[in-house]
Amino acid sequence: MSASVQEKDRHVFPRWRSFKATSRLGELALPAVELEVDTSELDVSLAKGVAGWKGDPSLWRGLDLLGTAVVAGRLQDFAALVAEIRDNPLAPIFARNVLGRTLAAELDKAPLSDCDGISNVGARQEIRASRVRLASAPRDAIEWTELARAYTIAGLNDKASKAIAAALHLSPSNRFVLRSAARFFLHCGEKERALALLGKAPTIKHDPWILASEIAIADSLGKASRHSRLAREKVGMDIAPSELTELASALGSLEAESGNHRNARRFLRQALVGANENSIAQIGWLNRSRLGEWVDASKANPPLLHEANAWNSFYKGEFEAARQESLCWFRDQPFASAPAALGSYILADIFWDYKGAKELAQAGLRSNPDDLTLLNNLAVCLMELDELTEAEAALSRVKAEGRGAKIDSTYKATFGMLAFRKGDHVEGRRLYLEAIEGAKNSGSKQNAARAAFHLVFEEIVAQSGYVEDSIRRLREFEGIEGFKEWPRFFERVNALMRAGVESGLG
Amino acid sequence: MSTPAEQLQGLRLENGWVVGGPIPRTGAQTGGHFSCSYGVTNVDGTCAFLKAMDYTAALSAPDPATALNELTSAFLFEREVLEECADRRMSRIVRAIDGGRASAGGSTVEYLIFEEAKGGDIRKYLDCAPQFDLVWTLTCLHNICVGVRQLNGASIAHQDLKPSNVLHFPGEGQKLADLGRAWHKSRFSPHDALLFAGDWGYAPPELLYRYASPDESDRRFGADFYLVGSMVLFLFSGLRASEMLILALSPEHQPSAYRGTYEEVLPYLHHAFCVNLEEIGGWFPDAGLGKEVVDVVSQMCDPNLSTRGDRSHTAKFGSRFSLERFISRFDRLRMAAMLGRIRHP
Repeated sequence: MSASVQEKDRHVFPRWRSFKATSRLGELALPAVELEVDTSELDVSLAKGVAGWKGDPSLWRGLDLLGTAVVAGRLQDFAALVAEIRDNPLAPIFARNVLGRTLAAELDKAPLSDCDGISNVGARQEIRASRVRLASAPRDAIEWTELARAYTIAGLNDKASKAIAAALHLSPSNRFVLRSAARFFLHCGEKERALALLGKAPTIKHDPWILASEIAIADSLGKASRHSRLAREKVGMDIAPSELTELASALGSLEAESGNHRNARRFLRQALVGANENSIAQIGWLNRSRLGEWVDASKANPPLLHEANAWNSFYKGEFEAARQESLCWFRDQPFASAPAALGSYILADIFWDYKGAKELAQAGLRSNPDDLTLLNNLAVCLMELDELTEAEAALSRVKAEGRGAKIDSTYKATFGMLAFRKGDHVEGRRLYLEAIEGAKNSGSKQNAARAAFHLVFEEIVAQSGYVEDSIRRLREFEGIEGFKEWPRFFERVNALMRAGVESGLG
Repeated sequence: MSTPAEQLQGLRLENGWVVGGPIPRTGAQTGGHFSCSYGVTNVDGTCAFLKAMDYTAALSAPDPATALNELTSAFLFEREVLEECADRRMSRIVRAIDGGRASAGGSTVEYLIFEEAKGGDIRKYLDCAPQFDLVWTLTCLHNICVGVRQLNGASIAHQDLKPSNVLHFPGEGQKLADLGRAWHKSRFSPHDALLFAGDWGYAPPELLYRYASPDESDRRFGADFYLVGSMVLFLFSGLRASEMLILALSPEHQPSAYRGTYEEVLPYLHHAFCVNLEEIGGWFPDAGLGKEVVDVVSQMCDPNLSTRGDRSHTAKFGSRFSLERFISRFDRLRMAAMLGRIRHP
């Protein structure tokens, strides 16, 4: 077969973005314990500053006043003075730059873009920058977490592990550090460790974000969270909906898992209010995989909604949008395997952009060197690019033993493709046919259809006498629900046929 | 109708002082700040600054008895502290050169007379300076450190160190003024119950996030130490330490918006602080000077009170908020600037 696409079981695991992006998304706003705040002293200080400046509106008094305005959280009331100082050549250049930036920030209300994500190359630069910062500020837990993220993106999990340990040592109860650490442990396959970390977090009883992640991880392990009762109480509390969206979504997933779809929908509808992209992606997945009656999330449009959009577009057959969204999703979550897997499949099988797909698969493999889907997709691209030795090396890393039937059929088909490309058409055909049967037997008609199409491609490329047979086999899959690749695959059949005729070989 | 303290102009006081024109208030009259200021001249031509307690104004406060009590206590406290400063010959603290009572408006007004800073506060000096003067800046910082060290050495925390309280005396350098909000380890002051008696616009982060260290000395001297660091930043950049810190925070973590505890917000403060230090380092074309300033600020303005302080301090000797090493450092830097070994900008 060709490149593979599998939507895996999904849970509301914490996202791991840069500190800046996480903060801008508002996921670090709610404190575990809320205090009453009296700002009257700052109001007094500001009133004195204003009176002083009115009595003597000089440059340095103005700077002094703006300092108080910043501390009092009232800088926006002094935009004219900020502009005046920014444009005053006598003002210290640092103040002009720093205060001028606040004006720019006021003007720049652009939504958070996916540009925040860093590539593998960017990760190396981030590592260097983080290490320089940490050399002078080794107690900065946030920077240790940033360093860990950059290491993870670069595929240096051992170093990331040490950085995460340092961050946890410095700030064992900070939400950003805890959720990032949990996501890192999940990335390393250490679910139990992630669960233990969050379950023992000092703030779990107060913090719905920690609670949501803990419940999702327990669910992924097939365990009942010790905190699920508390979580149900929490979602009923008077807390901003945006702070509860992941928790409601995690509880909705639990209910859906246990077949209680009505309760699930109730929680998921709650999660929709103030939803973030993680909740929407979860709702989308539950709609497709668990719930009989859909929860309509089509009106929600939180920032960075790439995962949900990518899958929605893919299942609708809107492949250009799916391609773009999957690439954005990968930029947003560069250490995750799923966006690289979906993106490389779309690039390879739908757009026949094997070079692009190969690069994306390789980028995903840096953080996930043992990911079978990515290795499979890479091998397919390498074969299409006539790099057979490299493809064989990639496939040698695929250990299909002990995997589920769906996965087996995918890899079997890819081994079939390798056999074809090496000239062993009989073996190739046998493997493809086994893969088709295996996929059908495991209930995945779509995978069977994909394998059947790829067998056609290989028969045409090999100019075997079995092209018509293989095309006839496709009839079996006509009209399969949700198999939107059909027209593009047929286009490829036609293109390969045309190419064969034009080269005089057909 | 004017209060007795507002009717001193033209009066001849004890010791030959003649009260000149009032100095307009530059701040709102709030809290315990019930006072009027005048320029005064002595028969020998000495000019000085008079601060008169306005008891009548205190009577119009919502709780007159408390306000009056606070004002009296504050006046007595300030006078005692100033006397102690004079006894200890604190060269970098503005001296109270006289004091007494005057009759005006049918009432008695208590006053203190301070040496006059002809150069005004350092903001005035900076407004008039044609360009940045590194030697002057380092001298000023040296003098500020000496002033705070002199106070801290007598177990007094200034608590209200800010540009308007650093006065410029031409030919003499800078001195610290306004001990009205100070804290004395062994004297009662009416501000003792306050988390922070100084100007909250300058308050260190732990106080902005309402954290009261159980060790009161740490809280008070730690605040002074931070405020000195804040002056370092202000003189080089026009920005104060808390201002820079807050500008590097996301809006939800800024003290005016955040509702959580200091412990919870501390990792974000620390990160913002580190980002700032990196930026400050980039401000200086002279890398050596940049490194020095970053090092000073990193020790003085650390948002974490428990790690703030002189990094080379050892538990055995003195306080981690001791300014001794910084005094030597600014002196050394001043000499280097005078010899042209470091330059800025």
